Amino acid sequence: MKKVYSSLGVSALFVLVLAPVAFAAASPETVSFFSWCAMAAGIGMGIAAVGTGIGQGHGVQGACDGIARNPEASGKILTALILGLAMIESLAIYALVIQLILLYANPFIKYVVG
Amino acid sequence: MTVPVEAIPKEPAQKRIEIISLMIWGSLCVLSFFLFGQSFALGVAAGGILCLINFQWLYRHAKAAVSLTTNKGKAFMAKRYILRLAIMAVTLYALIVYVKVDIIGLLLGLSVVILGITTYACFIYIFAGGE
Repeated sequence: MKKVYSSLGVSALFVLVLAPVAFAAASPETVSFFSWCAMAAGIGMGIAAVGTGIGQGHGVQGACDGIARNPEASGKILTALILGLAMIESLAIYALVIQLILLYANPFIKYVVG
Repeated sequence: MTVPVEAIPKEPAQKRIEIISLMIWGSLCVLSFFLFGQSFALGVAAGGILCLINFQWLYRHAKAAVSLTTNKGKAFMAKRYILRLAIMAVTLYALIVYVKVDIIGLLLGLSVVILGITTYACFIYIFAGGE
């Protein structure tokens, strides 16, 4: 749990430090908008990645234990594991697409920049 | 105790899910090309290819991970997960920023494996009584 908190802290720190530097020459409204977008993207992706990593780790741990107890069932356990991992990982990929939209293809940018 | 990677066969259910996902991807590509245009179809095609490659890669990594001991398996899977996510991020960045594919089409394409799993589960529970 300590690692999770430290990862979240480092991500938030990077976003807070780098966002103002990146938009130093823009108008205050644009800076505010892009700063919030960058913060939302960084924190959102961090939470999604941490959650997915923890979920996949638990899944693999359970599968390893199950296969060690009953090696004959390895095929069925592996299939269930793969399906679970695919469902979990798709959430991280959706989050990634949303963060990329926020940062590089933001549909609300025309209302801010004009 | 560890199990050799080669000793774990691919289950028929997984093969069926892969085939169903491919069929869904193909039909979505054709339908979206005729209904929504080239950009949307390109998004579906690119997202579907990415998703299917990622699923195959995930299968190989999971197969290798379960042949290790529990702690090594967890660490192995976490490292490979970061690698997969980084490669997906770079590819999706290129697709969104440079190729400018349709975002909704891309999201639809990235969902083909999920749609395949859901379709297979529905099929099993409706026609085969959950077996």
